[in-house]
Amino acid sequence: MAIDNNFYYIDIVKIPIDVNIALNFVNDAASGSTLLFNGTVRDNEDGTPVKFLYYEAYEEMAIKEIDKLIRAAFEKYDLNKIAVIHRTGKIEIGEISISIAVSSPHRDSSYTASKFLIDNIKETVPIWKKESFGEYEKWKRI
Amino acid sequence: MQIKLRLFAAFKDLIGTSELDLNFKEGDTLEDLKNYLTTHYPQISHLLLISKFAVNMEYQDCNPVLNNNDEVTIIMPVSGGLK
Repeated sequence: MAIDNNFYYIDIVKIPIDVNIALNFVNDAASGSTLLFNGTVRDNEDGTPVKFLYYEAYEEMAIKEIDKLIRAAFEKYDLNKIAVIHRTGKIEIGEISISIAVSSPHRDSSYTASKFLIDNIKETVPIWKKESFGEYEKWKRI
Repeated sequence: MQIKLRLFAAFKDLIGTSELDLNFKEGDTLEDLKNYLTTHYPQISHLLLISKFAVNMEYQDCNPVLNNNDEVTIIMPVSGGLK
């Protein structure tokens, strides 16, 4: 299921994300910048306490859509390597739901590409989260 | 012809299954599938109005003719679902 080539790595996992997998993948001698973004589960939604989140993905399509976005990022920005790992299933408060690691010759590209990736992943990738508030639950797109 | 409908998130919960195998006539379109769902699963009709569809893992902006063995998915919008 995972995509792992010389330039980018994509995986959707059901176990806690090991950020070192993402960081080690993007580690690159030609890079002066390595940037890691972690999306973590917040303990509230607009002030309402959240107990935990449950993530579900249409995995085949999610990987395909992340692949498109990574290719677009390589087109737009001066990057060396990218790794995107998303977790599914029940995720507790404070745990990581997504890690995005980017390396580039200079830092500006890492920052802009990381933001481009997370913003667009939330826009187009078919992954959903169910917020559990204890007494009721609500599905949302990530 | 046979269409496989994959269901996720609120649609899976509201219909109670993750997959439906549906029969349609040659020439039927995505719109015909939406109408079928609205009629047979009224509990999702409010979400269908604001959802996108993917056919064989590609988002659809138009109303394509469906083909035998197509895999269709309803992509739930940014927010919505269980009350």
